[in-house]
Amino acid sequence: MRKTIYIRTLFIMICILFIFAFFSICIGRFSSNPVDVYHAILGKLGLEPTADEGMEVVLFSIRIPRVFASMMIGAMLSLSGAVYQGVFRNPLVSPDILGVSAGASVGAASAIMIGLGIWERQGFAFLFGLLAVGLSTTISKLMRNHSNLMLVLSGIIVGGFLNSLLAIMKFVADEQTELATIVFWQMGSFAEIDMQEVVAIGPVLFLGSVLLIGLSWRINILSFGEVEAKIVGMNTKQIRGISIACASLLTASAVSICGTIGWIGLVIPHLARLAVGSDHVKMIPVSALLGAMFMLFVDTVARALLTVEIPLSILTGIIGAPCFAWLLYKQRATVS
Amino acid sequence: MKKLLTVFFVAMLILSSAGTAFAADITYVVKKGDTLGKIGKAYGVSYTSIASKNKIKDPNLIIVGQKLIIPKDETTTNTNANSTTNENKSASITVTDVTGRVVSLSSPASKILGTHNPSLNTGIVLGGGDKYIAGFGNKKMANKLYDYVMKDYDGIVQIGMGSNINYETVATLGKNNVAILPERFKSQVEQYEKVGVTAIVALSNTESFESIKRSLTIVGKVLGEDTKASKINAFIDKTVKETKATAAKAKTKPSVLFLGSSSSFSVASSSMIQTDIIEMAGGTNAVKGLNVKGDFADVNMEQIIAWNPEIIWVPKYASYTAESLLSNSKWSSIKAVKNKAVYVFPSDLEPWDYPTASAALGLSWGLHNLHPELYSLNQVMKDADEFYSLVYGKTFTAQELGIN
Amino acid sequence: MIIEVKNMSFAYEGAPLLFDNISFSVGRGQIVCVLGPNGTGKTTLLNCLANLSIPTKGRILIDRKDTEKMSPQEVAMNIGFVPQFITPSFSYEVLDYVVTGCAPTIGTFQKPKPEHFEIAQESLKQMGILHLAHKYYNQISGGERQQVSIARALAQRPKVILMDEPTAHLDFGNQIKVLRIIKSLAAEGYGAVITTHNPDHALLLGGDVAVIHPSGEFIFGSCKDVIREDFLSSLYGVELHLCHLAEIERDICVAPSL
Repeated sequence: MRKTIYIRTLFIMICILFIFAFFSICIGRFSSNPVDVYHAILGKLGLEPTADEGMEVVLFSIRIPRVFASMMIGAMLSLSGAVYQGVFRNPLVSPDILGVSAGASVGAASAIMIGLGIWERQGFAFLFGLLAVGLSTTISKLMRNHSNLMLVLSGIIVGGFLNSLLAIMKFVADEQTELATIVFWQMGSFAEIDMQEVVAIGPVLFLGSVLLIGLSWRINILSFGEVEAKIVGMNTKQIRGISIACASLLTASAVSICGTIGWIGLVIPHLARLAVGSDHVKMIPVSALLGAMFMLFVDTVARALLTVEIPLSILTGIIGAPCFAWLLYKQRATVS
Repeated sequence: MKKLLTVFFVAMLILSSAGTAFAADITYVVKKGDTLGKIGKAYGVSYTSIASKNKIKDPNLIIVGQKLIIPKDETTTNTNANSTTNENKSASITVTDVTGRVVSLSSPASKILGTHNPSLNTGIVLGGGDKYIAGFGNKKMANKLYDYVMKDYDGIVQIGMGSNINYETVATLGKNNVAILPERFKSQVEQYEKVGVTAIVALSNTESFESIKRSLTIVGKVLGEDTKASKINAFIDKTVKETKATAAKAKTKPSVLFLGSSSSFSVASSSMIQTDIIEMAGGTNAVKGLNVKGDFADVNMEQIIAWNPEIIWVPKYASYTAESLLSNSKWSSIKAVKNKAVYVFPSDLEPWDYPTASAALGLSWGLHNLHPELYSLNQVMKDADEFYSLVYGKTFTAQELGIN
Repeated sequence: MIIEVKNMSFAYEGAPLLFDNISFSVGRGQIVCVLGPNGTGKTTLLNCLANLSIPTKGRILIDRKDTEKMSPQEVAMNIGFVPQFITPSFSYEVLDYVVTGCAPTIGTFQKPKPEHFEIAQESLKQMGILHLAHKYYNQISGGERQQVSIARALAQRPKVILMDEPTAHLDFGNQIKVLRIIKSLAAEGYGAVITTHNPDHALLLGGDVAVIHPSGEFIFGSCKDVIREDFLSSLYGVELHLCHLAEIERDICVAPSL
């Protein structure tokens, strides 16, 4: 894709994202009238007296944090999905492949069972998610086999084990309080997000994306294969290690904030490839933008469509799976 | 040769799996002079199980030519001391449970067991303690009250949690027990009967004071405590009547939001006793337009703000605190939070918002909370004293109950 | 002498020595064909030269510098490698693929600059396939892919190019084309080490021949010296015929009638 076309595409996407975000803050169960939003903003800035306190709270404590959070989390998950797919040379890979989500679920469930608060729950989820990845990479190191296949298999082992642990915890949990909380957490939701958390993940997203976009050209080379990368003098172990570490950090942070959300890390990179080609230099930033857009859309539906809060995994699955089927159909000629 | 063998094995596999499906039940056509008891004896199954399998309400009434499904007898040694294998249909106790099943007992059960604690609470209030409790569900949820009124709480066997029941443990407790189940666990009836324990569904899914009273009546019959059951029901009736009358005098009907226990976004659905309590105590339910199955539902925070309740009730056993709502910026614009009208629903000893007899006290407290000028705390305490003396022969202080 | 191999031995972990005490050198414009049946270690030899495998014993010197003391990037700037199989999981434009050859000169967090793309285009021109620059890798034929791989190796601006069975998966016409390319690269001054299964190709290329005999013996010498009927027949275990065809003025190596 020509550079000029790419820059234009990027620009258009950013504009669309802003427009989406603006629409999103005007929609919700409390009121979907943009005029109310306008007055609430003016009220908060002190330019006019607060007309509706409820609207102000809704806008600043609920909608705006959620809009930011969903965009950021969508970007983080898609970014890490794109990187994992490139590093593992497999377009069917999702960020869960090394067990991040399973680990985070176990962490969150532990916190819930011990009765800790939301911050601790997130901390546990984050830590356990990273531990799971660490375990997968350690297993493959112990097997003295650094190939991609070995990593994937280790990820399956660790993920499987952690999922069984989770099942035990669900079994022991109290049906009415703990179990419901664990299950709902797993299904993914931005319901409890507030501005503090948004500010906390900001640096993670920033650092992670800077690093990964910086490495995106090297990921191109990695995606050719181990031999091809080595013969141009690349330190494959180092680059792979940094990429996986960054992507895992992004995923673990995302999952710890809002629970496990499937499909985004798998499908969005494919959409990005359809739009701008497989060159990771172009496709990684586009993945992030598309992911932000998609997550924003999904979360807006999750909170505004019905009285009840629809878990995010349900929506991403309902939209993501047919999307993936359509993508496969389009690319069926290239699937061997 | 190999091919033939494979075909043979596959055919056998299919036949045997089909066989297990069919081998379960036999169809029998009623002939003149037959009685369910005779048929039961002939096939070695209890006539009650034939009656329930064919949904026969009156076991005396069968018609010539009627097709009966004879259930596969899992307990040919069905020496359930409570159900009789002789044809004497005039068993001493007949109980119809909430699913319409008719169960007969030759004598009152010695004890009850189960895993649904509100259902078991019927046995506890009827026995004034652990007299009638053989096996329990999740002991963690039972609260402090049981420490006061049960002589040997720790000694009671825990038979499982929720739908995970250890039926072997149940079997070791003996056959003189009756399992008391809520309607949502009605599929467990067969399992209990398999180990020789009669199971009765006492508590309906749709919670109301009527269903609570009915559960007390049923279990009262089962335990032979009919008198006590009617006394407790009389108390409930009286409380309901008086509350309604008092509430009618109120000038306002504040909107009340009853939150759930798992998170501050969960609310009770209309099929729960919480809704009845709100309305009878002279309030209106803040929850509108909620179409959910089951008990609690997680709603969107914006929705809660839009409902803008004037009063919020938080269950005592919630995983979050009332204080956390008061200090959370998201809740700050809600009327109830602004007026600090966020209350913990009593009591400290046992939940008064469960579908149990104590819900009557919940009603009484609710009335006081919504309309303190019409019903004072003293009056609530009077009700509590009356109830607890009737049931357990003790009273508790306001401190102990956590209402002040 | 660009590459000097001194007393190199290699054995896989827990396996007997594949080859032992090999010494030879490769200079400007020199072509070395490595012959030998399967399993004797031809590819392994190339891998050692390309710094992909570490020899068990011995040293490799590039311009008198020991490769052990060089960084992978430095080695890559001297030696290009064209592997036998390339199966990219994603489809890139040919130009994007070739420009990865410039990686040794690009920083870890950087992207290729216009000058790198120019180098890539020059390499494509050298191979005569500039018209393929913006086609996608999965849209071109096998022969063209081989040429693209060579172009990529050229983009490294190496002194020596290693090729692992470059003619193995090509049709007859493309095989000859690639041999011509190797010959012209040598004429331009590149050194070339290629492994091949076809002794006739070695004759076509002229140059030196290295053989790793199954017995473990290493033979190195010019075409004329090494390629002899009895030697080849014993090497491959079948009768081979060597003769001189006057009309095309070259020696050929063929199998007799079946």
